[in-house]
Amino acid sequence: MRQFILLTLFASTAAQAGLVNQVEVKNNTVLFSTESMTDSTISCASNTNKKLRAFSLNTHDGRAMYSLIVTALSKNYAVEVHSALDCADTQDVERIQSLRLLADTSRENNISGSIGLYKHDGVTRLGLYQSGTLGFWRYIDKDAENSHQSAFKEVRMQFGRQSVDTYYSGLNCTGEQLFHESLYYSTEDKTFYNSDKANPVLAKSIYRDGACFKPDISSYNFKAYPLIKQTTHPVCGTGPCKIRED
Amino acid sequence: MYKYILALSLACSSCAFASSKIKQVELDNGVVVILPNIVRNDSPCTTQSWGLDMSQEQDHALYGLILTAVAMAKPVTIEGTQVCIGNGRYERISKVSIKD
Repeated sequence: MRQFILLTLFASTAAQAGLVNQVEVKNNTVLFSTESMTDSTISCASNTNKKLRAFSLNTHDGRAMYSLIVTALSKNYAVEVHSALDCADTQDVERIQSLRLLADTSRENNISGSIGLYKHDGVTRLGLYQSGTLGFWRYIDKDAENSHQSAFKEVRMQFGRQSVDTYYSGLNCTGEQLFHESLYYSTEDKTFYNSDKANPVLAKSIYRDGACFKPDISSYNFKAYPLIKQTTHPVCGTGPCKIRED
Repeated sequence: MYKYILALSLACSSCAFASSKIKQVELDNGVVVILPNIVRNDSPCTTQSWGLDMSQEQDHALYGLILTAVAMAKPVTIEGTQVCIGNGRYERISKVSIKD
């Protein structure tokens, strides 16, 4: 029982690292939130402030935490928050006990203004963004960037459309589901679609925008590939990669 | 014994670690805890992290310098006081220098 209580306390005070997305100062109290923060579950936090955390500027600790959070905000560094499990600093906002800034030491010195390619979490930097067109982004791998080598890498992915065309091996959208495009992210169902290029199959019907069609003459003998659904991208993680200023 | 302590004291009166970028900065119970990217192994305290005492005015300036280094992703060289703070866990910093 004691172990369970300890485990519960640990779980409720620890938080996943995330980028700071809101900071405000009110009556000498700092209110802030991060992208990864879950709603507060402690009873003193009001419904309207469940997404926020607070600390006072009346202490040395609070003023130092404020400097840390402003640094994290200005440089897009992630912070990790540990709760004090009370609302002692402001009536209805959960107070934090400690704050940790996680710096990205792979960054070049003073690279403000450069554009980085990041994993979907927006925190893990893959490298220096170079160029991109519909379907792929080119970047310099961060290890190569630090050693001033030229090592271009590409992230291939299309995304943004409401739904993807799905082909079928049988008439009237029956049989095996097939896919023709390269790695694709559906914003509708938050899933990556890929095609097994090693095993082409003749497509006899197409499902598009909620209806089933026969292939037209130009796509007669059209071959598609068995569809592979996956929840993660090999490089970007659980969603599309992000491009932003470092 | 006295000679041994004196020798140790002279040898480590300005112990510094190799220039390194800062990996983590944490605020915990009045102590700023600093973890460099290159972790040393000669701390006189129970962890290898460095500490700043936020109740001491002189540590505020050092904290400002550490945050500047973090923001600019520049390496720093840190020297310690051989004094442990935060329940004996972190060596208090005496000097921080930022160099290109």
